[in-house]
Amino acid sequence: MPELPFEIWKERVENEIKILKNLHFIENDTISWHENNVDFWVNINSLGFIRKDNTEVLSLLPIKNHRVFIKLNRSFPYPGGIDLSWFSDIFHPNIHPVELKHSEKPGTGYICLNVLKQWSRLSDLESTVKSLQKLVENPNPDDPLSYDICTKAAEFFKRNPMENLRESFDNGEEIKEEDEDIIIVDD
Amino acid sequence: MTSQEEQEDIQLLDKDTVESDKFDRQKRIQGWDQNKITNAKVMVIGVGATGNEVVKNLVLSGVGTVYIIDYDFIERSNLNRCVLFNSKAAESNEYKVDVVKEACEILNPDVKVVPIKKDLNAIDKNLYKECDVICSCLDNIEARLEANNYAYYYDVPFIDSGIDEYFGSVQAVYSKVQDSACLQCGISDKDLDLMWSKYSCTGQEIKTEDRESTKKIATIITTTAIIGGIQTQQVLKFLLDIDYFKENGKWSRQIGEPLIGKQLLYNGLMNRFKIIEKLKDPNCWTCSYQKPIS
Repeated sequence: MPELPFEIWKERVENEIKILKNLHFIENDTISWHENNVDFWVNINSLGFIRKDNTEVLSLLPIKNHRVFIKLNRSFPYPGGIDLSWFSDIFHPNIHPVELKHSEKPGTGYICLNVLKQWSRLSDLESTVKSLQKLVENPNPDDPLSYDICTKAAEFFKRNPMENLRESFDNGEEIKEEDEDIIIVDD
Repeated sequence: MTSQEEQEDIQLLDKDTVESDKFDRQKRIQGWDQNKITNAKVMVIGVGATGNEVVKNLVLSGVGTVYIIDYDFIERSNLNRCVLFNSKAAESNEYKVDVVKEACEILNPDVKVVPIKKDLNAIDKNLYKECDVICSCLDNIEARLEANNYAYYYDVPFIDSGIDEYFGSVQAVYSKVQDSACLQCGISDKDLDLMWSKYSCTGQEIKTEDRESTKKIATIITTTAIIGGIQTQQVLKFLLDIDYFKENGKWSRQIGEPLIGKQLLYNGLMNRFKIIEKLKDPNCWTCSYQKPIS
C-alpha cells in the first residue's frame, strides 16, 4: 500500500483519534505513539453474548462491554491502514476473540468486517468503530470466520436470530439450547 | 539583442563547435539552457519498458544525475522493448538498474546514473527532496501514489506515465500550480478496491501462481517510445523553465507549459492524442493538506 508523508499522516490520524475520543470510545490514557504507528484500546457498547460454561449444552450470557485493540499503521487512510484485534470474549461468527474463556489457546483477534473490505475514500476511523458496534448486534452467520468456535456461533445464530435473542434478553430469560438435535459440543 | 547574446550566437556558428559540441543541436532551441540540464537531478522510478525510454532520453540530453529505482531482474520477455537491456543480462538475470547504468555509461559517460535496488517504499525519503523532477514509469497504482504523495509534499514536479497495448497516458503533478489536481485526486473507490483486492482479509499480500501480484499487460516498443518521449519532454520543460515559472507565475512561450493537472491520452489504434483536465478533489488525502507556516 502507498503511504502519505509522515506529517500529513500524523495530522490526519490525530484528527480521527480526536473525534473518537470525543465520542468516548477510546479508553483513557491508552493512546501510544510509535515511529510508524499509533495504537489504543477502544470500548464498544452493544449487546453480544458469551458462553456461560464449557458444558455440552450451550448456554449464553449477555455481555454489553467489549474491548478492541486498534492500531493505525502508515498505510492509513489507504485500505489496510487499520489493524483491529478483538480482545474480550464473545460468541460470534465473525469475531475470533483473543480472550477465549473456555479454550486452551487464545484466539487470533480477527474480525471479518465489511467496511474494511469495502474501504472507500470516505471511510474513516469513526465509521469503522461504529460498524464494530453494529457487527456485535448483527452477526452474519452466512460468512463465518474459519475457526471452530466461529462456525459454531454461525450455526447457533442461524437457528436463533439475533432479534429473538434480544427479546428474550429484554424479558430477562436465560438463553439455553437444550434440544437434543442441536446440542453443541465444545472442543 | 545584448552583445553577450550576439556573441553566443556567433559561438554557435563556429564550425568546430557545430560538429564537436555534443549538445549543439539542442542548444539551438530557443530558451534552451544546457547548464540547467547538466546540473539537474532526475529520479526515474521503474526502469521497465517506458523507464528504458525515459532514461535513454535523459542521458542523451545530458541530464547530470539520474537516480534509477527498481528492484527487479531482467527476463528474456523484456527484450522486445527495452533499448538498454541485452540478452546476456537476461540470461544471467541481472538487476535491471545495473544493466541500465552500464548501458548509459556508453551512451553518455558524462552523466551520473545512480542505481537503487529497492522497493519504492524502502527508499530514503530525502531522495525525493534532492531531485528536480520525479518520473514514474510503473505498472502498479500503489507505487505511483506513493511517489505522487511524496513529490507533492516536497513540492517536486512529478510526471506519471502509463501504457497498455496501443494506449498510453502522461500526467504531470506540481504542487506550486494552484488548483491543479494530483494523482490521488483522481482515485476512485474502485481503484482502492482494486488495490485492496491484492490483499487478504488479514492484510497479507495475495500472490498468484507465478508469484506476481501485478497482472502482465500487453506492450510494444512503439507505444513506450511515444509515451516515454512525451514524458521526457515534460521533464525537460520543468528543468528549463521552472525558474521562469517561479519568477513570473507562468511558463515561458519558448519552452511551453507542462501538462500539470492534465492528462495526455494517446490512442495508437485511432492515431489520436487527447488532453483531458483532471479535477482537483478539495478533500484529497494528499493535496488538501496545508503545511503549517514555519
